[in-house]
Amino acid sequence: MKKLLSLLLAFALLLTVAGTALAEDVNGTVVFGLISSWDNLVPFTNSSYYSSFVISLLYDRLVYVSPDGTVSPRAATAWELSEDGKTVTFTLNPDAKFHDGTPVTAEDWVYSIRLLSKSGVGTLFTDQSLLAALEGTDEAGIEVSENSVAAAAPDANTLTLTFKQNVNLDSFLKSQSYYLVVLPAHLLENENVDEIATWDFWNAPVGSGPAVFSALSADGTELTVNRFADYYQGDANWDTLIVRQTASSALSSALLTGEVDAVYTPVGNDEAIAMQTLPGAENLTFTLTDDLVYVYTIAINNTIVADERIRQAVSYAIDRDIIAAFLTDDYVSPIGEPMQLYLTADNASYPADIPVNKYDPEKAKELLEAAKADGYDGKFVLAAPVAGQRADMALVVGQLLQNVGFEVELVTIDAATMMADLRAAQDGIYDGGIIVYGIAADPLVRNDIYTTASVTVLALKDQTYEDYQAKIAAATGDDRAALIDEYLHYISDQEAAIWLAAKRQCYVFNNRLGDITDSLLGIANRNIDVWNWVLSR
Amino acid sequence: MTRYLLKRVLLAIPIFFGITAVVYIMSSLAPGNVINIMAGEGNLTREAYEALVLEYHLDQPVVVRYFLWLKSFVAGDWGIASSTSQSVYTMISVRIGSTLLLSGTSILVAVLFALPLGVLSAWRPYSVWDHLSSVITFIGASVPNFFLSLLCIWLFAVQLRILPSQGMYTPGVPQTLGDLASHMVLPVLVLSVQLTGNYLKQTRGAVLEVLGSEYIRTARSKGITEKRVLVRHALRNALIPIVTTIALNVPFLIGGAVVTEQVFSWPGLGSLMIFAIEKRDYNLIMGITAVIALVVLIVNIFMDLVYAALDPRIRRGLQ
Repeated sequence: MKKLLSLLLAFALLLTVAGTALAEDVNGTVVFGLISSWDNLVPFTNSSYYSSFVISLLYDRLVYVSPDGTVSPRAATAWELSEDGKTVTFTLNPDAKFHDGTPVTAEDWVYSIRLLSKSGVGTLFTDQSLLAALEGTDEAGIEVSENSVAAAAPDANTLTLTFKQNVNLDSFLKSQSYYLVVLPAHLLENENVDEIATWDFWNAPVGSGPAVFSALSADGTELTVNRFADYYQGDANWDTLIVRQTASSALSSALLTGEVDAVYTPVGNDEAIAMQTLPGAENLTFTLTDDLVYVYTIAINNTIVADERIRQAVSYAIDRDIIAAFLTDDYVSPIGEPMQLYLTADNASYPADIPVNKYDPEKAKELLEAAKADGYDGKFVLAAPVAGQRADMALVVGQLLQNVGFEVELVTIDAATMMADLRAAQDGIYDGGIIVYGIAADPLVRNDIYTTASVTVLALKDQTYEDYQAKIAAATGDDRAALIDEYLHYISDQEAAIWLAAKRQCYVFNNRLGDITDSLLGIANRNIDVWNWVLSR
Repeated sequence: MTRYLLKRVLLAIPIFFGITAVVYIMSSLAPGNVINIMAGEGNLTREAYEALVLEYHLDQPVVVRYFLWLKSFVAGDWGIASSTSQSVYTMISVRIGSTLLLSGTSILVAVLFALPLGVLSAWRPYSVWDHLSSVITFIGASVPNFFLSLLCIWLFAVQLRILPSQGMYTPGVPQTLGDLASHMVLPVLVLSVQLTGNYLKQTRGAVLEVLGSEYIRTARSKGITEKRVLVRHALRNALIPIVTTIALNVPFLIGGAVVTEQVFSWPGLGSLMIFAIEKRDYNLIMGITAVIALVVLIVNIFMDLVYAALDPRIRRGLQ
């Protein structure tokens, strides 16, 4: 027995040493851990940041959006809006090539956009719905007749897109152009569109992005790509990038052991502080982000409380300072309006005068009493995830609401289900849920508005928001700035949001990658500039 | 015997339908649906949303949807995973191997430790072996897998740096048996500690009971060596409850090693199930459920045959 045990242990040790020794010679290889799976390698579903991350590697997009909202060239070197405000002309980079060496032309772009607009594609890949803004498509984004979508190639390096309504170019580039990618028409034009989901092409896609597909593990959890040496920008020197799924509970250990070089999402700041005391931390860079990372808001989700007085009563009942203090540390601070965090030269007129803390319990009581006098029973069902910061926050929010006269019922549920439930717009389940999300540097793209046009986490409908957006899209210069200012004040007045700038997230990555903080922050804009990653070997 | 086997197989068919129906209906009752998940952060127009509702038959009652799924499944079409647009059959078939490898190795390791230790502790109650056995049983029964996993990662991967903590292979290097083995050590350790505790308890109890039997006393009085008494007479007769426990663990490990697979990023069925549930991917959920249900039913039938092989009385009863 002893001999058998000794033999088994010796064998296990031998295998371990063999495995570990082999793992060391991976100098030009970067391993990137994602906490969730990407959907597939088809570029037409950007339902999550994880899918967008992978798509951004393999396929080229028109522009790159920096974390601060700056738009810079990618496949498009220049862009221009027509006088009527409906047509955007992109000048394409003549040096762009597909991974098989074929030059990328405007015809490839037109082919790709037409492909996305084909009937049936949308039932598989939800980005089709985003084409609904383009001329020649129906409300679901499907072409109204053969190749009717308004994408044209006047010459090999020029792409034009024509919209149904006046388009705000800045907003389109920052927040809506990510779903446009270019596919190689010469490899795909003879394929049967009805069988798009099963095309062999997706098993080894050929794009024109900064990384060339190399392998996808059979179980789909590990994607290997090589640096595209002919990519037209950047001075990257990495050879291979391996994107692998890594459990969120194991991000820290995977970074400390060097099993991954960088991860998304970032780790919590408390966790990062603890990491710094452990072996392996000396190889890592820790960056506590200074910019807004996430905002917390109560997503009003029930037409029972559609009455704006009730929303405003919720808003006035909440003391943001108490919430921030309750969340225990210096990393959270209340803000009046998220756009205030993007006060750059581009948008200096965004409102600075919205109060940070609208706490006014007397006003809240007054509004609530008025609503009750008209039949509202005062009940408010508030949902929050089962555990963690939002669950803690729900207790305080609930208490504050009760203080002004609401009869609060707290429901805790897993975060994914809560979000799915809110998105399902099922009236009557919750009156509100505490949600959290990053926000783009674009005042017109907000998840917190009540929209009639799309299905969001908010069930209420309010045409006013869309009316404002249309007016803003049509305006220019000072008129536009004034309208945005008015619009943001309207949002602030109408919604029950708790805007907290949460500097709780820490980006952690291996020192050999240099400082890639901005790259990682860029994932929130659905792109990552791996072409700028320079390894110190 | 053949008739008995046939009867068990026929009985398994309605049980299979029952399991799948319950799971389908329960997963459909969960809030949200596949389209809400596909839509991501609200980038779906209402028209597209409604088209998808029709495409996924979400306008139909859940019972109708179940029968639509069942009809396709019986016809050999496991469907397409809405989350990945890949064949459900393919997704499951590439994952089941890694789950079987992990669970099979864990059971094997647990049996190799638990059987001899359990017999020893029953043979010599209150000895060092018995106390060791109690400690392992206590740890296996009381320490949650999640905690033990993190503890192992902290000790062996972070502090000692002798074992990897993620995945099946080291990325970027050729896949070798040694690399695979080193990645298996921690998840197998965690799973087998839990199983070992369970098996130890069963083995000790069963052997202790048998050792008090008259036929053991008779065997000893006939001068048979103690080793032979233990192995040939005591252990063999104690095997039925032990085998039952092991058998019950097989389906549990195939579908239930979810936490361990998740923490160690082990690409198996457990982590696929989590992914399917998060994405409300009904086809994928049902495919995995069907596989697990089939495994449970097959293992149950197989265990009946093993009982018959182990116990002549059962065999005679069947005949």
